[in-house]
Amino acid sequence: MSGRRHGMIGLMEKNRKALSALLVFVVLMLFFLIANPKVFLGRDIYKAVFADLPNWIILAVSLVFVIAAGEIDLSFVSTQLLATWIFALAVAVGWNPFLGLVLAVAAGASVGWVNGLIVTRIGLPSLMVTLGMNFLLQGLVNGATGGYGISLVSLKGTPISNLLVGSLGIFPAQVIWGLVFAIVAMVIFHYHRFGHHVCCVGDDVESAREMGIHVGRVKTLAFVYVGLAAGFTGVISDLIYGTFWPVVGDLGVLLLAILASVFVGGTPTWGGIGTVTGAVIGACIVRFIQTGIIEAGFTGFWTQFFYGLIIIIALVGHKLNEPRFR
Amino acid sequence: MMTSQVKPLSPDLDRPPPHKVERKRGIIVFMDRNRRALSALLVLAGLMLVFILLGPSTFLNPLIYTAIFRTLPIPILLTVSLVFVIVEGEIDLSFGSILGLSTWAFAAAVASGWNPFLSVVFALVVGGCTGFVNGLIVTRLGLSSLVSTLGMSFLLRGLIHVGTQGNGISLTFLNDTPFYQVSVGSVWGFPVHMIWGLAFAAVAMLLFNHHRFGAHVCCVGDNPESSREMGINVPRVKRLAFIFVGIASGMAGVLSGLNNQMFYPGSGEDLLMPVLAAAFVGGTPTWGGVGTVAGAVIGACSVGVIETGIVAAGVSHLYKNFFYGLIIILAVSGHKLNEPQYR
Repeated sequence: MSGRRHGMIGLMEKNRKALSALLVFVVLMLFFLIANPKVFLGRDIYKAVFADLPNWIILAVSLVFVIAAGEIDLSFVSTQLLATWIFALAVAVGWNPFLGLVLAVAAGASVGWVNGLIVTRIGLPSLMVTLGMNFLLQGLVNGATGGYGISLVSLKGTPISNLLVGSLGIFPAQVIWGLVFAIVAMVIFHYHRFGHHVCCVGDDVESAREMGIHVGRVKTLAFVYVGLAAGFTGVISDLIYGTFWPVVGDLGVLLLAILASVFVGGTPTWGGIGTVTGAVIGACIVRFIQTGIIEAGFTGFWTQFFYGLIIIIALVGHKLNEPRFR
Repeated sequence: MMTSQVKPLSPDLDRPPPHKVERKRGIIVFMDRNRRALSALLVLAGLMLVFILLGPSTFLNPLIYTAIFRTLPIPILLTVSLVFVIVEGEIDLSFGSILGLSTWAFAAAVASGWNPFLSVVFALVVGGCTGFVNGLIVTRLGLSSLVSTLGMSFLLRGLIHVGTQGNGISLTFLNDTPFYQVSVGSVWGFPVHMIWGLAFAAVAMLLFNHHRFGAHVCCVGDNPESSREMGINVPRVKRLAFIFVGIASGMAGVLSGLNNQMFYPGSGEDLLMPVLAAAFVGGTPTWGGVGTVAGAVIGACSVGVIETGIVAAGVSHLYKNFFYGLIIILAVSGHKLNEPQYR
């Protein structure tokens, strides 16, 4: 008997990493509440954070699959940039915005597919391939647009805008999309065969192959999944800002911040294990730091300092929390 | 006893060795041993050829090389030191922030009236200590270096922003001092800091190829368990490599501060991706155990000429990153195809 514990203890054991991430989040929010109760008991701060938090969640959650499969994707911000461009182009040409959405998501998925093919067929390390792909796509979009943006203000109030980024009482609609995406990812990761295959592949490629898992396909699908997510978030960010802008200055910071969310959430770098719930909480932690630091009375200069501090503290916490952490 | 097949420690002189090891000599050996660096050189030569064909007036003019050499030493220093960390199976993403921190240390020290040479030592110590902290986090706490140095990168950058409140420090008062001439002046039009960069690369090459430390780094990256059993102090080797990156970043920080004639809080921020790219283009793979310092220098040159090259070739500079990406993917595929026994 493996001694499976049931009920509360079992739930806590199974979600140990996600729960410790939650603890970090609660402590962080308490700190913010005490530092500036007026703002953090109000609505506006949450409204502001929830505008782009769903994008962070969607990206972080999709990255869990790639990282649990033992690979990494550094190209998702550029994939997102490509999708924002394709969607904006389609709208500017006068196509139906829903067709633009499909095209953008398809473009994202194709980038993921190409990443996956290069990694699995040619056998190059994903760190190098996706780093290269990140440069390549960013340069492609910057070059092809000549650095000019495309205004998408005309989409305000249209069905697609209402559906994807409209307002639902105090929350923007994209919160629903973020949640739906996270829940689907959770179900796939923990209950669908694909999630199990991803973990097996990340744990030990050789034994996964001997178990009959099609390793190449599983890895490629994980990359496609990140691409899909990046495509979708690209469209959402187009709609939120009402404009497409090709030269995004802090693409690198966004990349690192979203990677940090996954790790703060409790997914380790070495593959084989991961937690989707943790990634959602990790994204909340990192995103709230960005806004919360200022509201708590620190200057913007402190943001990156706290990013770093939380990443290291959360990692040490995860490490201490799980003595059998591989 | 004699029938037993396994006699591990007895010298069996009569029996011929199972595989006759043919040691090749001369040029073939040299090419085999430096396969990675040579293929990196091929990439650079190809790039230069394309640029010379597309923009002959620019690339046949020595002035362009003076311009490129003014900024090139900084990526060379960083890439070369990074080879040690990558080969031992770790990664350091914090070197850009260490560079910023050291530049700040140097600029603040000089601005408060310290002797510039003493300030250089101070900047190197700051860089080395930061690398030591990185090493401690990785070896003592056992955290993954990818994530902990990512964290350190944010932390240090934040520290710089908080400490300086976003203000830069001008270093123009150092112009034309003897110190300036020695560090970033020019000899017959050739920038002195390129000499410093190449000297550092030469020392690193000696360390990596001929010193015990380099051999230990390769062993640790190849297999930490067996290195431990061989008696290598694995955590110490790992820490030393992180310290090496720290010192190199410190040196790069001083040079970049002097070259720009000022310290600004974002200095080093945009170096992360190009330097990583340079290491990979140079033929050091991500999986540890093997690497090449000479290749890293060549990789840094390849990445360094791309930006100038595409503009001279008549392509919009907005395509810069596109070509970075293309070169990375092509070069890494090339290294892969070049070496069938690539692990």
